Amino acid sequence: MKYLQILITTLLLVALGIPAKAQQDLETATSVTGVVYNASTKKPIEAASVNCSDFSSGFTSADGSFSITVRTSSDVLTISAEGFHTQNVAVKGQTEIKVYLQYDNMYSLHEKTYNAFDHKEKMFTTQSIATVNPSKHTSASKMNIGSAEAGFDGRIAGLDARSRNGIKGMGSNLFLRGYSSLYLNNQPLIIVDGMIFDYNNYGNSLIGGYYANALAGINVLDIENVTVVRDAASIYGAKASNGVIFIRTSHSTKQATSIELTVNGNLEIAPEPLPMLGSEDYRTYLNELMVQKYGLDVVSKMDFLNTDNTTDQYYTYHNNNNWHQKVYENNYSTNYNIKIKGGDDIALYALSVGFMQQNGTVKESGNSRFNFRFNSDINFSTKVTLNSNISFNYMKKDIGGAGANIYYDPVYISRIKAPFLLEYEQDENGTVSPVLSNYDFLNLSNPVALINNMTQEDISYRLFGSFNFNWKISDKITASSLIGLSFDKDRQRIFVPQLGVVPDSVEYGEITNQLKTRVIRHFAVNNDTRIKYSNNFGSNHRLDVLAGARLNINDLEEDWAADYNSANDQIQSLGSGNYLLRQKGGFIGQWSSLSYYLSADYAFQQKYLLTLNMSLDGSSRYGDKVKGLKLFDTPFIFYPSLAAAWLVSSENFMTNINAIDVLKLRASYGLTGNDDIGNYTAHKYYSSETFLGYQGTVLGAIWNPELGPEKTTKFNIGLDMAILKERITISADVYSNNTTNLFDFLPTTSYSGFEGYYGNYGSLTTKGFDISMNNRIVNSTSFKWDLGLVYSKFTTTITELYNNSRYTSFFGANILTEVDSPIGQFYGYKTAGVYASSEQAEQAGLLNHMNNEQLLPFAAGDVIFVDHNPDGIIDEKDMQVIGNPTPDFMGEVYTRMTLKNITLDASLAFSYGAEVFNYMRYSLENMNTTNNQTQAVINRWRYQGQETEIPRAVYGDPMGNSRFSDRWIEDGSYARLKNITLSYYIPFNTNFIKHAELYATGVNLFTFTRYKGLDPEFSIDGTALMQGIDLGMVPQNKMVLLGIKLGL
Amino acid sequence: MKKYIQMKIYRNTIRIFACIVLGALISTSCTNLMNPEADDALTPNKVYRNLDDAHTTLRGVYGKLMDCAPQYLVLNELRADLMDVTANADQDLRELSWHAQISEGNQWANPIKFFSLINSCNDAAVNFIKMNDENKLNREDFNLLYSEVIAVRTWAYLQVSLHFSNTEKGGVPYFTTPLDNIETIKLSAIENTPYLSLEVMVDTLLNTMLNLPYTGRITDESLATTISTFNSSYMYIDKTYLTGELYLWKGDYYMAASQFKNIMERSTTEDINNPYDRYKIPFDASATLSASSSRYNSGYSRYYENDRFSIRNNWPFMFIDIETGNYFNEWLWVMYYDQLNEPSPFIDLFAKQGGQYLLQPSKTAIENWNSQVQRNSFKGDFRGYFYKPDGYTWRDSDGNEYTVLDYVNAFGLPGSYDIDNGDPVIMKHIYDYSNYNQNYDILDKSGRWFLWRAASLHLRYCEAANRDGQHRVAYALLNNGIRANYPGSDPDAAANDYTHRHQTELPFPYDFDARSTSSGDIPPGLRQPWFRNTGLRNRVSLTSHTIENDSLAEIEQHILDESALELAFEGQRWGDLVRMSIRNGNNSILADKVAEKLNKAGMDGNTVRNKLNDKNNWFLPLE
Repeated sequence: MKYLQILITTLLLVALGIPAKAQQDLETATSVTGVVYNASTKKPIEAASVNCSDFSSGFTSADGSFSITVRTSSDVLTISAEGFHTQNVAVKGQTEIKVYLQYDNMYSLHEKTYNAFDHKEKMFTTQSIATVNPSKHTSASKMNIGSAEAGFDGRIAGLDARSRNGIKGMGSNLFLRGYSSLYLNNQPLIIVDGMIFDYNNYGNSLIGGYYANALAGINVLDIENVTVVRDAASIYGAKASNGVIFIRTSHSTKQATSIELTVNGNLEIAPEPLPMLGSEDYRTYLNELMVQKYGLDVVSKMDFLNTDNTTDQYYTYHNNNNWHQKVYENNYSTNYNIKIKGGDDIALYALSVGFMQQNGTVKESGNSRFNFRFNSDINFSTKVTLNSNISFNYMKKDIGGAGANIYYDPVYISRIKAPFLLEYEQDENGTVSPVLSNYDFLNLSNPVALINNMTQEDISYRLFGSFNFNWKISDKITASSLIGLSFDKDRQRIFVPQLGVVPDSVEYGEITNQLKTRVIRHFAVNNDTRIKYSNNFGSNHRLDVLAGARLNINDLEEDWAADYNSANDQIQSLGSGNYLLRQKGGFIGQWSSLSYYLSADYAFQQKYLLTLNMSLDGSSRYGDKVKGLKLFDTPFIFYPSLAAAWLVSSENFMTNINAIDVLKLRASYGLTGNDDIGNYTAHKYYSSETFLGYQGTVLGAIWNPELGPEKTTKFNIGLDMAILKERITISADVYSNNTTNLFDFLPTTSYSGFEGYYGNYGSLTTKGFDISMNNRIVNSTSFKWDLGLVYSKFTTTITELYNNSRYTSFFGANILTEVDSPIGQFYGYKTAGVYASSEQAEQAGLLNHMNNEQLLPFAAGDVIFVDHNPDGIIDEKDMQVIGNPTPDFMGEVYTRMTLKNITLDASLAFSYGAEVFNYMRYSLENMNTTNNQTQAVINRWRYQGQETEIPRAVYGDPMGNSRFSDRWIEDGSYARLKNITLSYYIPFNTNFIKHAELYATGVNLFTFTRYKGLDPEFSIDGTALMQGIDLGMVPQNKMVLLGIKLGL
Repeated sequence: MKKYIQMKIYRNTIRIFACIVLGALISTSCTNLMNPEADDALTPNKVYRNLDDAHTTLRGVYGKLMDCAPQYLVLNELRADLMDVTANADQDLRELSWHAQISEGNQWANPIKFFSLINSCNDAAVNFIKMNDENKLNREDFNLLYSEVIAVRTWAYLQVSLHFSNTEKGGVPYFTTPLDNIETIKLSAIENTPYLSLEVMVDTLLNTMLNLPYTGRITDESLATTISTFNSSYMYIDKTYLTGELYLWKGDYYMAASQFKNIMERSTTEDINNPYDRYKIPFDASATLSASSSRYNSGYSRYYENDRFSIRNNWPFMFIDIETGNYFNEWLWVMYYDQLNEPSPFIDLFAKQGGQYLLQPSKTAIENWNSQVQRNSFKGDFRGYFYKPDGYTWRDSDGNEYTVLDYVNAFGLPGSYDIDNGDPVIMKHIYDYSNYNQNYDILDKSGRWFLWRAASLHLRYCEAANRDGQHRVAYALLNNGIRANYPGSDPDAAANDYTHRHQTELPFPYDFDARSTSSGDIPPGLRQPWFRNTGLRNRVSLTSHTIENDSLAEIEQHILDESALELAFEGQRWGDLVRMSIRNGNNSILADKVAEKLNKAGMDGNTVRNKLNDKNNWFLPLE
């Protein structure tokens, strides 16, 4: 009950604490005159509206001048004009004011920021908030990236949108200000049109490397505004520990009908091939490894070494194939979108329909999307209104190949397959037949057979819609309720053929072809019911209070089945495989959360601003004994936050400092949480246990009724500043986020029969800095040049951990998690070259701890591992930190030049100082299998005295030369020209076409990096520990795009 | 599906309005929403509601029991002298075989699966009591189910106590309530639990068994039913056997013998042969070549007893047959793994084809069999691996000659192990997954876990009887049967007077009557239950032992040796060695056997001998 008391007391204090002095305005009223100018042209603006709250209003005359009565000399004027940013100007005791309005396509502190249902000018926000209006700030070409984050990626300091890979529609993992959790979701909450947009990747994809990216369902062209709250958004309680991103889709603001048609097409340019060994180099390498594996006698009789071209098999093994070209190709994508807006005084609507067909650079791969959105605002009466937001999207992806390390991934196989083989059968004369060749003597599949006959298809759709009713009870009070649902289904179908594909051995036997299907269905119902109270108490005080309750109910189900060995590759339906190999599975999950929230803004003279946010957040996931207020048999946890801002520039003493237009200092402190702890983890439950044909029940886990959310306290100090008539705007923040109660698997006594249990233990801290800066360097009538920068850096440090230290292995990499160390560090061996000679190896005298506990000395050609723990033995004790995947800093520089109707946009993203585990290079240079290797291995150690960095090739690598070491850690710094667009705007004065915009764009045209992998930008998933591991998935490709936007 | 969604939408909509609309603070719908019924996991209110739930729990317990199977075999055999590692075995298995320092993370030396079983038993027991109190289970059902889970728990505790001990506390903690939440796993809670040494544990377990409300086997039709063609009644534990075993551990031999004798006398009336065959180690009454009527006797074709090529090795059929009459007369406790639900875990351990071939018979075990002498004075033992002629010519009664390549059909089966490309492969638990199974399918990894049978019953009984002073009874059952050893010695009786012949004429539990008379005999037409008893060694055509001096010590030694021959790899060995060593106050019985295995494998057995001469080193460390 303590929380309730605090809540009620605070409410009362806020409501009653406001001085009741009000009706003094008339006594202190004074008159103010001024002139409003266009900041670009320096010419006066006519008919700009000038308001002083609801007290007085007027318009400027032809010379831009106005005269208005204000309530006090510390009042604030609001000046707005069509096509310009609305400005709020503090009178600051002046009687004459000059106002310079900026065009509304410029970055400005006067822009609106949107939260779920409301908006506020950025100038008056107390929290660390960034906002982007994609239609104004980024170029239209971004729509072809095919995922919503393209609309704001690179424009928000502190938000790192890391592309997962280059598979079309796969999108990015979003990280806002580093990491808040070790094992839970680290991605920010996304609210679309007031409703939670769940974009978690639920379930287990059957397609290797596939990530269900719900954000791809939102068309960038439909986004009107994106606002990001980086500090404590406590009204979202346990969903907000990673910040909140509000996406507002476009609504109509005018009754006049406008139609906008966008069409573009682009060329997808296939990536450059990797420098793999050519036929003869590979043959030499293969011979070396095969002799080690099978002995000289056996290998010398093998066909691949046969040099007699009169024998049957000669031609089969003597080709020079470029497998890369058999898998990749240049491709074309197209995109159509039409937006219709309009309405009357009863209803406004915005309709958007789009179709996109992206074709990937991997042959036969692609992503097509149909999207539909209908938003309307209806006035039933002056008091009752309705906003509806309905969207539907349908996506179909064909994953031709992902590059994942899977024996039937054509992209992966194309890298390692022998270049002297062909994809078609050859006869004894070398004539190539049209018959696809089978898997080869090295047990590698035929990539072309996979490209041609394999199906990896994902079809998903989402219906996401809501009705938001508003009832204006009085001028000051409005009650609203949003009811909405999100329903989506994701269906995968996989067929791996037998022809040309190496059979796989599984536990129950050998599989030839594979038929798999998965369906995952997520259904969420949302309700958000609230009351808003707004009032001005005289000219000095303003209070806005929003109190409400938010309910989120979820239902998730996954079903999958896998069938193997159907009669032939034409039979692809489930049920036609071998029943002994048949597998099936799935899960059902349900969870709900209910939050009571309150958000109060208080402003004194619009320069001292205070925001109180709080929520009482309950979740079906919490354990019964979590500390909190008990409602409905569930603990409700209290999340408060307080933010304050001081608009220094509105102070009288700033009157004469003309250079500074806006200066605001901010500070906030508050609590958020992360409830991604699993649906039943905190509950006592029983699970099933097989007993022959029956399922029995047994205890499912050790019940921890104290299991609750992770808690993140966020502290932020920042400033927002505009100088030189807003030619330069700066927002900068320093922050410290501290997560406690980390969700962790804690080991326990084996007497329980369980390995451990889930509990809250441990903490980590993220400290960082972000800044965004926008400059209008040239601001003349005909030529404008904007230059912007976002820059951010952070470090996340573990401050408390069960047992203080542990490492986790993924893809051969060891990730160290240790108290007082940064998160996600690579932990492995350091190396110092290769032993050139036996003497050198003997002199070093190091022994290798073998898997079977033996100690064997290193020999010439082995890697020199650093004996960190100097005992003469190379073993686990010698591992040390060899890299940190977190960049030192990252950001983006962007620019826009406009000369009359021609605009050039460019943005350059950069990331510096990240160290990357190049797993792909590891798998292509480890020389422990017969797989094809990169040309680096030509320099492998081969004779005594040879000085080289590449060790000898030994089948199976018994000495562990390829173990996880700094050999595979690379500098992942890069700068990438993400986008360069030249566009030409043509105004028409016809009835049919009103305007047109032609544009040409290059995407990812240049990347400056020393990184040897395919793409320095990648991210396996949204967890903290999996970053910086490059699996070598299909990279983001270069694109050249031509498009036209027509206003009809 | 569509209907389901509609229903969901409807239900949720109702809930939302009830829950939220303008601040209805308390409502039951909200409570339901915030405490959703899990569809994926069973919440406590969905188990232990009725008899069906209780049965489901029991099946869960047995599922957990089956999870212990591989570790049960590895602990009981690999730590003893009959099983050894192959070159494929990893360090974890080697540590067990060599009695080396156990490295951290060695799952074979982690008792967690047994404790998981114990925990499940405790949870079931505690809740069965509650159900009974709440009248959700009637007394009869309660007695049956409660006794069953307690018996399983007893078995598990005996296993844990045999292999593990906390060095400081000197034993194994004895939990009788579940460790299911974070309060119960706190150090303070565990430290307050009594730690019992093996001896104290045996006493405690025996008391528990004696206090069970029901000691019979499960006959309830919904439990003892046919599951996937297997008769599941043989999957449930035999409480009488377990009680007998505990008496044997405790040293109460008369009571032990009584328990075992009760099982020997069990029979059903469904089959006329049943009373003579069930758990009696009967002879091959038909003496034909037919495996199905062999009663698992191994020997040679009639009249070809000295012909190496007339072998008929039927003893191994007990590991291949499924649910034949012979089978039920031998087996007391068998667990079934079938492909569709849970494949056999033994294939991985033992099989060369389809498995990893991690374990093999030790040289000791192989030499044990090879040194046996058969009645025809051939050396070797059908239960090991007798021999395999490389194809030979068979002449039928008409003089036609056939070249027989497939020796299997002609001679029967290899034995406890087979030779595959020169490597010995332990076969007992993987016969189903081998060419010897008519329905062998490389994809079908079904199999069985064999626990208790007539032979183990007889050996246990012999052990008790011998210690209880009944050396002759023990000798008879061990060697060549009651009939041969009790010819009767009434000089005044007529030749056809069997009144006092072929029977022990002892009180229970040593009363055996093996008379079989024809119509002219006195008494006429008699078929007494034990008339077919042939003795364990005689069943496989081995010669009987001769007793030279001390019957007690010699017969006990013979029992221990016979157990190695008969029950090798069935998970009895370590217990036998520990029990014999403790009983005789002679730790070297165990230490010598293990040392011998290691020495024969080229390891340093002597160091291990010294180590194992200290009883404290018999136990794996327990946290």
